[in-house]
Amino acid sequence: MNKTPNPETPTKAQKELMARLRQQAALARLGQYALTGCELQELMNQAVNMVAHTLEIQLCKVLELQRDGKTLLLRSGVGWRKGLVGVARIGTELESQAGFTLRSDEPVIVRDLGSETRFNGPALLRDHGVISGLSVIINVHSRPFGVLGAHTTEYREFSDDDANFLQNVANMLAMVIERDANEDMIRELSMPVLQIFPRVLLVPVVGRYDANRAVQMETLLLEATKQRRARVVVLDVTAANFDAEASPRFVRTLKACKLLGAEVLITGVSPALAESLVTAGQQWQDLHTVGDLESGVQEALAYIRENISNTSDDDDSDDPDTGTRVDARIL
Amino acid sequence: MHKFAPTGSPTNPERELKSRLRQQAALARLGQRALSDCDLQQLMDETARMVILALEADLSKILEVQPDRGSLLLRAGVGWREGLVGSALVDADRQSPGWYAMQSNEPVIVGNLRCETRFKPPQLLLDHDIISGLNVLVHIGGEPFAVLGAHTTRYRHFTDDDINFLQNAANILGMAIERERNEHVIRELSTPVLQIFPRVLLVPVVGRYDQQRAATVEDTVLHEIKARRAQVVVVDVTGAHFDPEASPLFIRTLKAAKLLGAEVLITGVTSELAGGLVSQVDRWQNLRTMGDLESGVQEALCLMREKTGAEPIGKLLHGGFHRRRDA
Repeated sequence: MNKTPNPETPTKAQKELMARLRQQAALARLGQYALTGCELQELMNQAVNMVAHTLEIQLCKVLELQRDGKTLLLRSGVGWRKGLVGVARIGTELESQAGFTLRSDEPVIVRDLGSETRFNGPALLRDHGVISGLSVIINVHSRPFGVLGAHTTEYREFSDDDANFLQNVANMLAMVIERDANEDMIRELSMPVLQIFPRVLLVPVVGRYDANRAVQMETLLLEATKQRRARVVVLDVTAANFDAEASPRFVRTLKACKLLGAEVLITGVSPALAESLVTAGQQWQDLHTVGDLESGVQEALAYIRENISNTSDDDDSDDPDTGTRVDARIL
Repeated sequence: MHKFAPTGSPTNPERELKSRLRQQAALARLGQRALSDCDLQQLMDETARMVILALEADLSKILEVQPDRGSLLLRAGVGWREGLVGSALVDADRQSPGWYAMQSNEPVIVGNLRCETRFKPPQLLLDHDIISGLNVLVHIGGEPFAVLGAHTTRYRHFTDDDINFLQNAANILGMAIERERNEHVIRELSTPVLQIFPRVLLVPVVGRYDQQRAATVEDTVLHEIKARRAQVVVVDVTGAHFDPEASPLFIRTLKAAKLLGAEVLITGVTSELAGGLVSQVDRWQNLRTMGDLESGVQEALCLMREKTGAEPIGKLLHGGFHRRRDA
């Protein structure tokens, strides 16, 4: 299989070729790992280790730009002194290679930090005896998330080809950072908890409701019920799209909510959901459903009136049949 | 599971080195494209072209797994007869290469299609005189989404190193597709409009509010105001984070809502947002804000009472759900 003329002493091109092939293989593995839905911190840690190993360098790091725009946090790294990763910060001002990288559109290659004129070497690099280096931006949505840097403690001539490799790793990180941000947003969006009256919560469930969401919703709903001492929770499922397997959990969540002392009203149940709740064999008879959201809100108010106003101290003999009195109290 | 390890058995290392370096540069460009706000079809087309150049192949393809998994659609590709890209379907039944790829869950190298024993060569490939080929899977969340392939009309020995390159391109595609799906969900979720009383809408704005989101929110809110003939809209921004450049768009939406005849109440304004809005909008005074959502709902009911002279809550229902149980 190996037909090289001198298998004993590989040529320079052969050596570099093997190095590039290793890079491409390592990148493929990292990408496959990223696509399994891994955690960001874990991916960053794997990435810095992989870069250090494949480029055969001593130090590698991911710096995250902080909200103030003026400092960068050492978010992940290999080769740094103990206790620095997750803690150390450097400035983005003129002093640092990372800061300079953020301001330039291209990868930044440093041959010798000691004689560098574009920026001063930050203490972090000098303290570790860094001489050469290469850094690229991790861009998310055209905004810099931070910098991926590779450094050596001996002289090394990094090439544009090395920069391409490092940029490929940075791009993979950027895509996962973006994915995480999107997933956070979906979680946040999917179930806002709205306190529309004292002790009345309105929770619209929007989009797909599957096993994953069911767990999230349970935590969120129970926490909100407890924290805001809700007496009635109006759960509007008009715009929800239920997976059949998730309905038993749904019923369970509502029962738990009741144990915390809140009545649960479900509004906007679709025929499909009704059917799946019935077939799930749950004790759905305990669930209170109301046709549409408006009627649900009205029922919630009626409940509050009867159960809270009747027990309050200033309760008197106003005509209980008119809504106005409730209004006066609630409003 | 495929190991994605380098092999490297070149007879001409200088030439291969050049080609591998070109591949790495092409991947970097593709990654940057994927990270810019690029349309998915465009990205697929670019990937198909890039694969041809980087692997010096004659044909390339992206076959998308169809929902029933029974067939694959030629979503993008280079070198195919006119009219096929975007419409040609390939069977994914047993004995097809698509089925084989999904089944084995690994990259598939084909030395000579005519001597292939693992699966039955599909007519589409035979019609184009394809001899050798290489297929990798584009995965999303553990599910196969598509097959990315490169083919030659002459015999070609594809190696594991070629697989690594092609898998890297497939991974970029996978991430881009995942992003598009997420963005679709976000658009879908972004603006629930809740009718809490007759003619009173509640719009909770949650999460990041950027320019793209602003456009969706404007469309939805204005449409719903018209459709439900709303007189009061309570916009709750308690859980929103506004991008500085999106706040003027937010104000614009509120003004448009007013033009449609709805009274707009904003609740849950944070000091951060208030600062941003005051500094740039002189007509901010015209917008009515309330500290929290509860007060906003109360105010909405008062407004309705003023406007209609009637009680918006109406006569509250009796024998509500809590009584039904006893019955």
